[in-house]
Amino acid sequence: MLADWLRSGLSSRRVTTTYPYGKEANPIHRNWRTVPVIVSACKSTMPCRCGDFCPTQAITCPDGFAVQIDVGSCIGCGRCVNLCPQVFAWSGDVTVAASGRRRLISVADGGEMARGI
Amino acid sequence: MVFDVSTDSRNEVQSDWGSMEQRMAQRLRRIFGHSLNIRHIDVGSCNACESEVLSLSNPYYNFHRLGLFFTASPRHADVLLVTGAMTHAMEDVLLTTYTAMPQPRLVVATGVCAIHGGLFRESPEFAGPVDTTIPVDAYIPGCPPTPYAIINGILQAVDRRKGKKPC
Amino acid sequence: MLTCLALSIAVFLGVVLLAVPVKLTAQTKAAKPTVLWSLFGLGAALQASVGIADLATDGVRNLWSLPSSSILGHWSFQLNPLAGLMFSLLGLVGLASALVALQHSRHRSAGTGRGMASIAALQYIFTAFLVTATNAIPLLIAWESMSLCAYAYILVNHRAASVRKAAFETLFVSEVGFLMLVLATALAAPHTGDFSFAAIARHLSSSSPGLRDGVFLLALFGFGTKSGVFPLQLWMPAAYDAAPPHLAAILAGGLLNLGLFGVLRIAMVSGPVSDWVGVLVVFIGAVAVFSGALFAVIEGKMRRMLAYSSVENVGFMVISLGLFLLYTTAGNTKLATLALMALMIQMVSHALAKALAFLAVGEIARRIGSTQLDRLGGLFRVMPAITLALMVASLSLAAVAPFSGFASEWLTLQTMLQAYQSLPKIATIAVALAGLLTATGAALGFTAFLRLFVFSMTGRMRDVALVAHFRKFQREPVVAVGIGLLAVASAVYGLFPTAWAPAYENVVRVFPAGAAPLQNIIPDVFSNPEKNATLTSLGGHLLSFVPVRGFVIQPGALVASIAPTYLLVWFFIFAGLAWVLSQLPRHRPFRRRAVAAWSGGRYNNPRATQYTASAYANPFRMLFATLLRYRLNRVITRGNHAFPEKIELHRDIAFWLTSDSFNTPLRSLRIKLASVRRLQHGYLWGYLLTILVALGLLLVWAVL
Repeated sequence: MLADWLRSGLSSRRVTTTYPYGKEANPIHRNWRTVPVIVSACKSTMPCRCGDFCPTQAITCPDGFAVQIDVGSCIGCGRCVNLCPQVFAWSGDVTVAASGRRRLISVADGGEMARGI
Repeated sequence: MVFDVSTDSRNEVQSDWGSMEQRMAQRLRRIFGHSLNIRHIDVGSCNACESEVLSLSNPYYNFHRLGLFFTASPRHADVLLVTGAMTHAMEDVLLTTYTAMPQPRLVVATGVCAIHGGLFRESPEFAGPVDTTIPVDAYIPGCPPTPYAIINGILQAVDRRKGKKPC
Repeated sequence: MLTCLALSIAVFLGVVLLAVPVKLTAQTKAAKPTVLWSLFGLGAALQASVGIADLATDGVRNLWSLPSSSILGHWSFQLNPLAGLMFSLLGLVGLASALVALQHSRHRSAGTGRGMASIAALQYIFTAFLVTATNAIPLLIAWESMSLCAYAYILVNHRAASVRKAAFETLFVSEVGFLMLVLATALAAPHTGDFSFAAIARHLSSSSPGLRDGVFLLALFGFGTKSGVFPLQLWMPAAYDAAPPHLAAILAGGLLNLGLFGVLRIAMVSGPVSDWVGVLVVFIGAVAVFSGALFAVIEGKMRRMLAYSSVENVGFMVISLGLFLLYTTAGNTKLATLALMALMIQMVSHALAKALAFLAVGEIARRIGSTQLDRLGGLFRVMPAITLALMVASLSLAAVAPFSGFASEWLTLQTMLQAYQSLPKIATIAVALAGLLTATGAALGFTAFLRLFVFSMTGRMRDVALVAHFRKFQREPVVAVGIGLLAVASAVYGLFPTAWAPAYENVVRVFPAGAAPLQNIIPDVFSNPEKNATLTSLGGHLLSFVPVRGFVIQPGALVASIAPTYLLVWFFIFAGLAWVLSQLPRHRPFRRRAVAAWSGGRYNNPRATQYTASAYANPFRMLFATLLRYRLNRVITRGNHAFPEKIELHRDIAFWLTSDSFNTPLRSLRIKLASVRRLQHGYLWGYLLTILVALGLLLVWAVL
């Protein structure tokens, strides 16, 4: 990773990085794993198992097939992304922060996309 | 995007670093009257968050150009940056530090340990999330959060004061 | 005047006699100490009134004289304004000390018993004879008796070994001084054996300058032992620490001035001395100012610090004395008078303020139990009256305008600066160099008193154990009266320095050399505004309703003038203005809340995190490290070098002004002289052989 920084710095003659707004995301950050997002609703017919393998109980199933992830408890281990790649994926967002505790919790129930904020 | 970023970026794509610095400085000056002084307190962390907080001042991230500075005494601080899972021993210290800060003051809980307890939630030394002791203005998840996220969190906290009277 | 003085002596004699438990009848017993101290106070008040009355009215009065006898010579006692000055100082300080001792004797504090009261009364009788003597023999007898009484003052707590050591050092230095005085008398007296001062003056005026210089220097160091003239101040720090407060006040406020009185007496009769003597005296004073102030800054015990401050103030007086000698020899009577005036102002201001400081510190020691600055703090809350008294004393001793210490130090420095006008080149350069030392010393002296006051009175008590020790003492009105008397006297003296101009004039007229009138130095602006147009235009006519000549001290036409009284008036005006402004309503955009002191968040112990006096003085220790031989020894008492568990830090300083500086040379001397001790072998034949050899040598010498 240091080599990447060096290359970026030497090529642009400026080491200081830009703040990654929207489309201006730095390609370096593509490999950074910060927090997962829910990409689609859980279509599994089995009772919810996701919550069992999250070490900090960040993922819960509030009612039935709805999936809730509380990013404020997520330590980024990546088990959810590995075991349920249909539901979870790395967000690729390196600037995660919120001014309210509830904003860190997002729920996806059947048919609707992940709803947070 | 699922999660919040600086509210301005919704409408405008900011590729101009300089104008962001300018707007930041203006906003800080309007609310605080000067650059932002951040006092960091570690209430029981594994020091990963501290590494990220410290790296804010290195040339890659360089938060000084935004007008953010670390300060040693809470008497000089505007923002209290809390990292770590709060232990029983540090509960009173955290409260004392918070009380010693003059208003207007902001608290930013950095890292999952400060927000929720993280891996140490089941530990007998864990005394609860930081917002059970002091009011928190911004939460920065991550284990550890990236320096960008920390900057974002501080900006979020500053945003909350926008429009309010001095104290 | 004579009756008043005789009455005071009678009163003191009464104190002595009443203290003796003589059983005349079955009912009589010795009087209670309170009665004795009240009588003592009465006697002191009488002496003070005698002194003040004599200062106010000029004139030399012959009091009484012994009939001339062939053995003793002609002993007569005379009251002149200089003696009056001494009487007033001794009397005032004695009165205040008596009031304090009176109340303290109720609970049997050290040094307030019958014995001490009678010794103090005896001392006052002796000093009465000392200051009025016109013959060298009664003066010497009275001097030695007074020294012995001072030795008794220090020995009050004789059970402590350090106190006995301090008393022994005092006695040793006093006796060395007395030896020098005897030598001086022997040299100065004419061969007829007439020891009166008139005869001595005639003899010295007709003898060689070398004899005059020798007599003067012997007298300076002989009398200087009591004042602490450098280098004879060795005994002072330990002695002032050991004596009980009321007796230390008499020592520092009363007896210290007698040393300078003695030197002035000799200066009156010796005539002009050589220039090098004057320069030497000025240098001794400058070194005393600097070293006294330096050690005062770094000293941690309050009483020792006051002793070092006395060394500094006596240094100022000695500088003025040296300048007086130089200017008298050069013939500049105006500046000689100015130097003498500076000496007098310094003497009075120091006596009042130092006695006040010792009494106040004594109260602190009694109520709190400690006088170590590192343990004290926040005394303003528990004893506000003592705080005020100590503040008045500190402001005077630190030479802060408009208090009295400022006027005297200012005048001394101004007189030093005027050396170029009349002194020869060498003397001018020497005085300028001495001026450098003096200025540094004055600044250090200010720091010392700032430290003394701030670290004991403000903040919080640093040693929590002392908080428990402080009990609610009952109001002691008599002590308050005693301390208040000195505080008021010190403040009034300082705030109106020109009011005592007639007294200064009377004292100066005693000296044959310094006879310039004070009219130019303290111009009479109030009665003659036209003659002093410049001063009047600058505002020197304000407050002309006060019955003094004027409030301006103007050392010379081209020399800076001061008017501390106006400073005080303007201070009050501006302070009042500031207060009015602070009470005006104003827009406060911020809410206010009171929070605890921030001390790191973890250990909320604001007492322990306070700045201490030792820490404050550390930069001075380090700045003068070579001079003080400052060494910091770090000893690992537990653990080893790689893993130290417990470390002790020792601070080592060479205390040049105490007798410790003589330890090393004395030890090496003793080792060298051990070989001489081998002569004390105890064999009779050995001693006989020694005598035989000595006689043989003498015989050979007589023959040759």
